[in-house]
Amino acid sequence: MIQKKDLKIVMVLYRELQYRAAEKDPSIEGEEELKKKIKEASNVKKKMLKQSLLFLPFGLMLSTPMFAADEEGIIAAVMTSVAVVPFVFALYNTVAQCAQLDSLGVFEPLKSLPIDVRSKQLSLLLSIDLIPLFSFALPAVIYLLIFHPLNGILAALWVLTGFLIGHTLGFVVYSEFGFKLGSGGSSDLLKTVLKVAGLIAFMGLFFAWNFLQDVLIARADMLLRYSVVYPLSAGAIFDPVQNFITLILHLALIIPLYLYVVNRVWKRLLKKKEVSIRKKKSQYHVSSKSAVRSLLMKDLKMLFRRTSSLVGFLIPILIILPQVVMSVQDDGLTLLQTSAFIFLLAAFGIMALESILSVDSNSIDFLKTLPLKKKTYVESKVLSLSIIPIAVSLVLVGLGTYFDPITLITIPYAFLLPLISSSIVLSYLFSYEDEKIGIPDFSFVNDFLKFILLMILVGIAFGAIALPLFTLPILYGVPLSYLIACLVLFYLYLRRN
Amino acid sequence: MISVKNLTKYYGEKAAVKDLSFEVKEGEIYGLLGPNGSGKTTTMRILSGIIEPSSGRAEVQGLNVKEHPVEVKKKVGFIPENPKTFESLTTIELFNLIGSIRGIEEKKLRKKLNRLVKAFELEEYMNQYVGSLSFGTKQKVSIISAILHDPEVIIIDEAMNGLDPKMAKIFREILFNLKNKGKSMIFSTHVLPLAEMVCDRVGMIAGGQLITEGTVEDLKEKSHEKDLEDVFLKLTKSETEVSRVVNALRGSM
Ligand SMILES: Nc1ncnc2c1ncn2[C@@H]1O[C@H](COP(=O)(O)OP(=O)(O)OP(=O)(O)O)[C@@H](O)[C@H]1O
Ligand SMILES: [Mg+2]
Repeated sequence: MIQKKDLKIVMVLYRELQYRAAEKDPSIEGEEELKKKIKEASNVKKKMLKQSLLFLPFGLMLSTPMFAADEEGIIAAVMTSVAVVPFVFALYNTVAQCAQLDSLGVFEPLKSLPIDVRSKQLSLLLSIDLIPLFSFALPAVIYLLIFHPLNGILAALWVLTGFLIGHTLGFVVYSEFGFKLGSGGSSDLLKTVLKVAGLIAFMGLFFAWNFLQDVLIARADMLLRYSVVYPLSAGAIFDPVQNFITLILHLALIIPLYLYVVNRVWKRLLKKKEVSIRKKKSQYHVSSKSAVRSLLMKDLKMLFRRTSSLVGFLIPILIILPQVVMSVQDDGLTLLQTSAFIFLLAAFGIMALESILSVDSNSIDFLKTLPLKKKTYVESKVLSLSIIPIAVSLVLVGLGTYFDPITLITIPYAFLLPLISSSIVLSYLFSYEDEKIGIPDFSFVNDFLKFILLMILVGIAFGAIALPLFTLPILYGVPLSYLIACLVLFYLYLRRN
Repeated sequence: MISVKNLTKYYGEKAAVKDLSFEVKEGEIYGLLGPNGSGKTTTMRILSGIIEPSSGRAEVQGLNVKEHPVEVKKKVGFIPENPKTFESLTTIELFNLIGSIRGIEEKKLRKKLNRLVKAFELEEYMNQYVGSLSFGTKQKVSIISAILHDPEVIIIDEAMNGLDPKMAKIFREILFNLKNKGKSMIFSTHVLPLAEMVCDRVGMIAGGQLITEGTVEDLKEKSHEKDLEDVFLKLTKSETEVSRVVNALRGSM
C-alpha cells in the first residue's frame, strides 16, 4: 500500500514545508542557522520521537486521577478527556497545515512531474506532525492495557478513532470552508456570512457532544451505560460489547467520509485556482487610511475570504460555549461568571495566532518593500488577533447584562483582556533585536513548549488582573482590576517602542 | 541619487556581492547587467532596504540603507523579478493598502491611480483578485505598486519580461518621463537591446564584482565590439565557454 517512493516524496515535501516556513522567520539569522533548522526538522524520526516525549508529561498529567483512584467512573471521565485532546489538536492541525501547504505552494513543483501523487501522501505528510499527539493518550491507554486489558484495547481503539475523526473533520472544514477565489463584489459578502455561519454550526455540532458530556457527568452511572457518541463513548469502555458496537458504527461512518474528503482536499490542493470573471469594466473605490488600520482590514478581509482560517478563532469560542449555555440554563449569568468567560476567551484567543501570522506568508517579501516599521506591523497583528475575541466578549457582556444589569460594567474587560493576551504573545514572538518584519515560524503542535510558556505568561498577567475582582467587593475590586489591566497594557505598549 | 561603496554581501561563506562600487546620478538610468547568479538581485534588494549588506556602504538620497531601511523604503520603488503579493485581495484593495501604508493622501492617490490604471489598461481588473490575474497583468500591478508614491529612486529587476510589446513601450515611456523628472533608476535585464535602448550607463557585474562600467558606446569602443551582446560575452568571459557548450550540444543532439 504505502511504497518507499511515497515515503520519499513525503520526506521531500516535509523538508520543503520546513524550509519555506523557516525562510520567512525573521528570527532565523543567516544561512547557517537556516540549514541547521532544516536539518533538524528533516530528521523526521528523531523529530517525531522528540515531540512524542514532549507531550508525554502532559499525557501523564491528564491521566493522574486515573492512577490515583482505579474506579470505573473516574477512568471513564479521564478517558473522555484524554481522547478529546488528540482529537482537537488533530482537527486544528489538519486545517492549519492544509492551509499552509496550499499557501506555501509546496505541491507546485510536483504538478508538472509524471508521478502518481495521491491523497495518501497528503495524510502521510500530515501524520508526521500528528502522530506524536498520541502521547497525550498513551499513559492512560498503557495503564488500562496493563490493569484492564480488554477495556484497554477498546480505549486504544477509541483514541485512534477519535484521532481519525478529528483529522477527517479537519479535512471537511478545509475543503468546504477554504479560500475559493470568487470575482469579488457584494455577493461574496453574503457567501462569506453564510460560510462563517456554516462553520460555526458545523463545529458547534461536535462541541455539542462536549456539552452533552458536561450535562451527563453529573450522572456518572448514566454516562457509563449510555454513551454512544464520541468522545463520551471513549469513557464507556466498561461496557465492552455495547461499546465495541458503538466503535464499529463510528468507524463505519468516519472511514467512508475520510476516503471521500481526503480526495476532495487533494484535488483542491492540486487544482489551479479558478475564478469566474464578470467582463464589464467596474468602478473602483480609492481610499487611504492609517497604516495600522489598513493592515487590520487586510487581515480581516483575507481571513473571512478563507473561512477555514477562522478555525483558530472558533476553538476558544467553542471551549467556553458549553459552559455559557449551561450557566444560562441554570439561573442566568452572574457578573463574576461573565468576567470569567471573558478571561478564558481572551486567554484561548491566542489559538488564532497561526492564522493571523500565515495570512502574510505569500506576500511577506512584498511587505518588506514597503516602509513598514516592525512596531506598526506588530500593532496591526495585535488588533487582528484581538478583534474577534473582543466582538465575542461584547456579546457575552450583553448577555450577562440581560441577566444582571450591573454586568455592564465589565465592558472594559472585553477590550482590555484580548488586547493584553495578544500583545503578550506577539511581543514575545517579535522580540528579536532588529527592525525587520517577517513571519515567526510558530505552530502550537510543533512548538508546544512555547505555547505552554505563552499560556503561563498570559496566565500570570490575567491572574494579577483577576485577583482584586475575585477577592475584593465589586465596588473596589473592579476598578482596581481595570487599573492593573491598563497598566499591564501600557507596559506592553511601551515595550514595543 | 544612489551611491554604493565597497558593498559586500555574504550568504554564509559565499559572497554574492563583493566590493561593489558605483553611483547613479539624478535623472539617470543605470543598467545592471550580468550573468545569472552574478548578484544583481542581491544588490537591488540591499538598495531597497530589504536585506542588510555584510559590509560597505549603500546610500539612497544620502540615507544609509543599513541604518535607515524604513526611510529608504519611503524613497524607493522596487519592482521585483517575480511579483508575489496578496493573492486574495482585489487589485484596488492592494493599491489602497499600499497607499495607506505609504501614507499617500486619498486625493493624490486617486489622481495617480486613475492615470496609471488607464495607462496600463487595468480598469477591468480592478475588482478582480490579484491571484487570478495573468503573469503580465500581475507585473503591471507590481509596477504600479512601486511607483504609486512618486519615489525618488526606482529599482527595476527584470520587470519587463511579461509585458506585451505595446505595454513594454508604454512602460518605457513612463520610465523616460520619470527620468526627465530627475528620478534615479537602476534597471536590470537580460534583454540587451532593451538595456541599450533604455540605459544611460551600464555596469557589468560577474561573481558579485563590477567588471566594467560606462555608456553603451564606451563599452563597445573599449572592447572593440559592435554589439552589446558581444561586449557582454567578451567581458563576462563567456565567449569561449559558449562556443564550447554549443559544440558539445551539437554533438549530443
Ligand atoms: N537567500 C539566499 N541565500 C543564499 N544564497 C543566496 C540567496 N539569494 C541569492 N543567493 C546567492 O547569491 C548569488 C547572487 O544571486 P542573485 O539573485 O543576486 O543573482 P542575479 O544576478 O539576480 O541572477 P539572475 O540573473 O539569475 O536573476 C547567487 O550565487 C545565489 O545563489
Ligand atoms: Mg535576479
